[in-house]
Amino acid sequence: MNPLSQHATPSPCGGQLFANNKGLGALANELLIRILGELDATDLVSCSKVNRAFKTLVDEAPSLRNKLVFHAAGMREGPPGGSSISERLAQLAEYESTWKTETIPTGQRPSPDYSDAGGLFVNLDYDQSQLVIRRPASFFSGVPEKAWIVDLSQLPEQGGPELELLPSCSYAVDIAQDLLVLMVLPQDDEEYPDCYALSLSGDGETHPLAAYRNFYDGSILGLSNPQADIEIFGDLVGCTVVGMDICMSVYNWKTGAMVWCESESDEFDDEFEDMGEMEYHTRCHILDSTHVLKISKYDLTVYRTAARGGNTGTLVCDLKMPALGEGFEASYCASSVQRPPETPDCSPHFECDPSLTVLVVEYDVRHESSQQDSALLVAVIPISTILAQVHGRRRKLSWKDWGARGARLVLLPYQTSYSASIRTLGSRVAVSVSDPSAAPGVNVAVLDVREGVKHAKDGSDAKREETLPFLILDRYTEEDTPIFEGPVEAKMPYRMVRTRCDARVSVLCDGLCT
Amino acid sequence: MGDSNRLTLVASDGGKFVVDKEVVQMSVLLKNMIEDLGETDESIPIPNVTSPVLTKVIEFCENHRTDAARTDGPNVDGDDARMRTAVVSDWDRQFFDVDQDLMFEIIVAANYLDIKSLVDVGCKVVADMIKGKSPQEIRDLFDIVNDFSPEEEAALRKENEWANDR
Repeated sequence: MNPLSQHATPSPCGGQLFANNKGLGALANELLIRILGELDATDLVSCSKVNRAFKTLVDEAPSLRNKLVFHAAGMREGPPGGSSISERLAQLAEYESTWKTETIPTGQRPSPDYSDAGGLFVNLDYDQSQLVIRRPASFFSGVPEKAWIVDLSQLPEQGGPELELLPSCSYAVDIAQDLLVLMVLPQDDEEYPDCYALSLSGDGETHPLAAYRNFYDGSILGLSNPQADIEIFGDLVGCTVVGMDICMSVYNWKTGAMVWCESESDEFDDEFEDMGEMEYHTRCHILDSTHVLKISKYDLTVYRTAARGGNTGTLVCDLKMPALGEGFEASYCASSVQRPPETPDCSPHFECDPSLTVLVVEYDVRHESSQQDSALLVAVIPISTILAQVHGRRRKLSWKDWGARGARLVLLPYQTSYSASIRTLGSRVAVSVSDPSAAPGVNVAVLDVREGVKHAKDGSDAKREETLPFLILDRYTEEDTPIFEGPVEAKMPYRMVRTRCDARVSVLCDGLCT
Repeated sequence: MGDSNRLTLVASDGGKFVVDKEVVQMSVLLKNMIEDLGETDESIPIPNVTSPVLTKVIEFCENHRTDAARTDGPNVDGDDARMRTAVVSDWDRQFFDVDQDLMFEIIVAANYLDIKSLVDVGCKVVADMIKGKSPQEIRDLFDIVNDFSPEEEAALRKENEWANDR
């Protein structure tokens, strides 16, 4: 009776699913699948629970089923090219099974000299005058291993520093933009620091898009052992230079213009005249092309960059880090921004969904009335969560609300070194901590920092388990009461696995990057 | 019936509609039929579509006749891709603000007549109605009977634990 049956292309489900031809039942399966194709995975699950006909559609239409499979794994299909959808699904199934069997492959860091940057290992080799960038292969997603070696021996002839004579320098690399930003910190406290925008493929020549080779315009440092943190985001380069003062500035490396700056001098306390006691942990991070974050202990201050000319930018809002309860204090804080790796040269089978940039803040926390050891608290917050807060101009959020928007807390025991490895994998954050009780062994937890991911319901109220080397919690409040509500489980949103390998050189291979 | 730019469509219940050829040609089915018939004064019967539904379909085509001219252009694929991602316009939303049976009949008719943009908008409107709703809310919305056994429901809950509970 259906007027369409003779015209509709055969549906994957055979005949009509609905008993009558009124209302929704009037639609051919082909049309129903099209409607369902407009929905996201969560809505699809709701539909599959409506009745048998809907469930059959969702289960048997490949386009709908695949959407659910990828979503359940926290992944999305990679860009088109290379592999077929069935190959991609097979790879995904294999990847998922390594979680279930706790056999996630680990990779080797080339050597401890390499630093970790967006899924890449980078080493500035002073002796050889070269910069070595290594991208490890991803076992599952089809990203091949690759290495870039930049010869910097010509740097002095091009008006740059001689690497082997360098007292100290910091750098950041952006492969997609072919950019190396190299900051040289002088040993003589009367000299100015320099910051170069160099081309990776040009072996250290000035980047062709940069108006100036050296764009940095900072003051003298007045300190003989300065440090610097550099980060690149698109056209912007963020520099935090720690000398007598903390000098934070953001430049457009193409035009050489400074778009934001701020400095902070530590108040000199007679008790702490020793430099080592001073707190030098304020940092600036680039949130997006127009917003800069200054993080200083509990304060997350967001500024808008100057449009043109001016260099101070404007204050947009001041967010408090709400993770710490009453009476707790942080004695140390370090922060970093981790961006998802870019793979312009290949098309992975699947990738994390969504691919998020994440702010990682580490605190040494202690209750002011307690004599106990302090603990390391790591807050992991998606940058998109901070930006939504900025644009929404909402009032103060409690940590619970931040949690619903993807922020997570991890509590690590006091003995943990600050080098506890934290790596972002798209919308996941892998925390690996060496386990002294099972040496050589590393405990790895992967947190899902997608907005809206809730704790698994029937996980029961987790108790502090002695065997767990670290805890994942909603809010750090009191030490003696149960301090976390959510379970730590081997499924989303938290996955946890213990791998046995040498903590110093091994990293977790997961999905897109290692 | 002397006007060669207009022709008559006859609905299943005998209702007659005089429409510009340009408008009729938004339907791929009718466009092909006109080309096969050549110049003719004969009216075209649409046996599967009732008058109320055909009225709405023609209303949509009249309103979107200028879009149709564009899709005749060389970059049909590009337009199609854009249509797919575009949000439903206010006019289209108002157009589908009718009782549910009529809404579904319009989509069925549009699919039969092969009017791509109308099928597309219709599917989006229905999808928007489903978004964010619980299974029970979807049943209430479309008057669907839950035919799962309690055991099947329990199994479903387990299967989809990762999804938000609604």
